Amino acid sequence: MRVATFLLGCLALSLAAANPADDFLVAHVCGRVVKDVSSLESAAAGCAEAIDVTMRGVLKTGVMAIGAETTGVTITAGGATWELELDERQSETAASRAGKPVTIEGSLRYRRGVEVKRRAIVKVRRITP
Amino acid sequence: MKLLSVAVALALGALPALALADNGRYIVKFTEGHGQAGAAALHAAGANVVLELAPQNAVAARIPDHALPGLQHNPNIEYIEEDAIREPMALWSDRTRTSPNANETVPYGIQMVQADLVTSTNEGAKKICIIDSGYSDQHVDLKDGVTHATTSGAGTWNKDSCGHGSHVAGTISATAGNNTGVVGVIPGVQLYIVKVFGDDNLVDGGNCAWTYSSNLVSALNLCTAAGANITSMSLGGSVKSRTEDNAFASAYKNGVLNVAAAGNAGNKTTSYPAGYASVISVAAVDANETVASFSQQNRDVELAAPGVGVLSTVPWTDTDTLSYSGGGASGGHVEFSGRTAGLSAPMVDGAQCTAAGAWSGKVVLCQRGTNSFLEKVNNVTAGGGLAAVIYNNVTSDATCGDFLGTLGDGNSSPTPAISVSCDEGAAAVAKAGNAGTVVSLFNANSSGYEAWDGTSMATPHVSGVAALVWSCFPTLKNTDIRTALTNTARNLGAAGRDVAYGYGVVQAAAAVTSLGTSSFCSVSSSSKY
Repeated sequence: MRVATFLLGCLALSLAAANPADDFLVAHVCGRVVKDVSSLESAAAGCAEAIDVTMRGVLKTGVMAIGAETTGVTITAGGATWELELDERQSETAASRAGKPVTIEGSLRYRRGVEVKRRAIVKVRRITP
Repeated sequence: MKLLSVAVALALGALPALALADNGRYIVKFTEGHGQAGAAALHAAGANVVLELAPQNAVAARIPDHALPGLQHNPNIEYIEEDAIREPMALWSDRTRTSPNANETVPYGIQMVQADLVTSTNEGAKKICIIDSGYSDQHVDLKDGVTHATTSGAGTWNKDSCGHGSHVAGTISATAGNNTGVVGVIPGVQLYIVKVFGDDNLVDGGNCAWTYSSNLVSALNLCTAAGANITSMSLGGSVKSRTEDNAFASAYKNGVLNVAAAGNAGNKTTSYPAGYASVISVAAVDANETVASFSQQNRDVELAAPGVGVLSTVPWTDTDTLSYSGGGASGGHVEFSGRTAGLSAPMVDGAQCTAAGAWSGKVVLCQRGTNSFLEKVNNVTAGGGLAAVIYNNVTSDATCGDFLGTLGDGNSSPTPAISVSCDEGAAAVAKAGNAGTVVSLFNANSSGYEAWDGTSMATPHVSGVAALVWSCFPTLKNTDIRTALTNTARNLGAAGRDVAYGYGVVQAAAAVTSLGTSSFCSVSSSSKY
């Protein structure tokens, strides 16, 4: 029997419908400034350093995923949706800004889940309206 | 296990060749009456004794490679042998169904939860609502005639873009007796499908994306409106919702039994809806009945079920083979590599493919190890190779079988690459120079089977067992069934309820027996399959 861990598509590339005109993505990948998600994907593959990101987009809370593999909070920015890892205080801010635009500064990492093939998670340093 | 180097072999002279242990650990047997002297020799050679075996006049020790030849010649030492690794054998394994359906597999989980010991003439009495990514109604092992709904924005109920919902559905109710595929926990149960994930786009590596708490509540409303008795939710999120909590509590009060995945974060956090009091939280165990490393452990975990290497239905087939005159191999696709419907060329032994060779127009056989799969495939491409067949070299694997290979996130190659077992690789290398045909083909909308990991895979075992037990006593309440399942679960881990296994692995036969005599069911001590 071939045992295959369940692999799913990249969540970061999905749910990209909400894309207000003022949303943006700026990522610093190994000295390179990247502003679109497709370039970020390939640049990140060859970069072992932390990826610093600033993005603005619509915040969502109460997010569900298969196998419960989600932080529960996402932002849709730069043509993709990203999971957000928040501390307690930031979570309170997020709860009050659900469904509204916010600006996020933080550190992006890609992680492989058990059932979700690839998760793009931003550990947030700062969240502002 | 590394082979002894030539230099060391020469130094050993006439002594039998000793393979170097991967972990440097050996058993050293001392000559009778010379234990102390032998131990002193070990110490002098820089060995580290890790275990004394006094009755055997021996020790287990970690010995530097360079010290082995000298110690083998030491008169105080009778022999040195590798301290071989012993791994637990699986308590459960998939097995082929006995005649007349010999081509049908009974997944190990069906046996572990005792679904094969209960025969119900009333399987269709209860309805399970599967809230997931949809249902592949074209799959030969998934029945027709299910009812369905879709929440806002989730696409079409019978287009399962990532296969998750179809895998869950197969565990619950894959058809029994059709001489193909697998069997589910309760094949005759009524299903109601609510799709909340996915984009209908069934492609290689299709995605399931997310849904929202509000969609889940909406899905629950659809389930209850359809008269579902059980909700099966292989999903969750980390944020608690009052609306959701109230909705599940209300459904539970109205007789619905809710079952959800504990989550795959591998920590002590709680996922929702599994964390609500009105929902049974399900942990995952492997074929040894050991809790899976990814299974979340918290006080909400109530039951455990098989969730590692669970074989079930998927709406595609993925064919990855190498064939040649007199032999062949069947393996897996190396993720992010190319595909081919069939490519024939002379095979060449590329060793570990650590550098590009003169492989123009060849199928290159690469041994696993030393460099990454991406480097191997890139080297094959750079050398003009048409396809890469990467064969296993990890002999410590029980089977040294095929493996999950990937080029890594963000990487890709147009060159097809497949993974095969040690034996298959060795056989192909022996045929180098002959023509080989590589196929690596993904067929959407076909009937396939794959083994997946996750608390998502454990959840439908519990949902199915709940429906099976309930079918035996259809007038009982949801609370009665829940109590029967928890009271009769096979306790694992700490005595009583614990954060890893809850009350233990769910047991269908024990639960039915605990509820008394059923006019619909019989319980056997041997498998009905």
